Amino acid sequence: MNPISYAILKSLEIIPYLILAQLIIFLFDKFRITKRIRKLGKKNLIIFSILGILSTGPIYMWYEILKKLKEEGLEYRYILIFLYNRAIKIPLIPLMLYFLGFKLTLFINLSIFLFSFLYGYLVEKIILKL
Amino acid sequence: MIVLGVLILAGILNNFMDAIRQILLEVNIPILNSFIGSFIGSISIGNPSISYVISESLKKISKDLAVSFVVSWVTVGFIQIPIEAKYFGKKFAIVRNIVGFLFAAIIGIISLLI
Repeated sequence: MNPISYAILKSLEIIPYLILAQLIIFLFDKFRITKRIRKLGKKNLIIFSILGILSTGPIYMWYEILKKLKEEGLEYRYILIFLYNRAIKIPLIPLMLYFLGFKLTLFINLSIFLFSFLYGYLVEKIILKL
Repeated sequence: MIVLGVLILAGILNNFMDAIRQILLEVNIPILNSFIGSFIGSISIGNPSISYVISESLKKISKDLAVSFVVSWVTVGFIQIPIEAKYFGKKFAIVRNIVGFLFAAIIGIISLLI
């Protein structure tokens, strides 16, 4: 497919998700979700990693939501952990098993999950030092 | 506009993937493979299932090449840096992607032990 058609098609696909993101942000404001999330402290490490694994849809939709959380004071590390764990795609695991085999599929997904915490802390530390 | 620009770039890169895969088939240097795989995955964009299909042939060259390629495909997006920077700032986007690239290579290297 030529790049222009690809870009136009993808842009049209993204629009409904951006509207959905605005709706989620509206609900976050209405129910003060960010404030409640921040109160959870370190439990957010697990919460954001699981949310990252379960999240679907285009990344642009999540950028909108995560930006809102960041503006309201959520630490970088949770955003980073969320984004890293998005790499684990549960619906695609059967396909991964078919092409990569059991051992590599398990290794890749487990590594992403475990490394996400180190990644979150390390990147946050570097960003704050720069 | 930024999103549209990135998607045009993604379309161009997708057209180059076949050629890149052919070049990779001829390169096989242990450990360096991890960095090559991580780099190619980092500049690629698209559904992760595409990376699994490509990694099947990369696996035949070396395991670390395939692993780092798959990991970086989904964790790093160099061509998405402008969008990420728009949302979270340049520093965040650049550091996140560079560290993601290195982590993918490290995971690739570790895969040689299994």
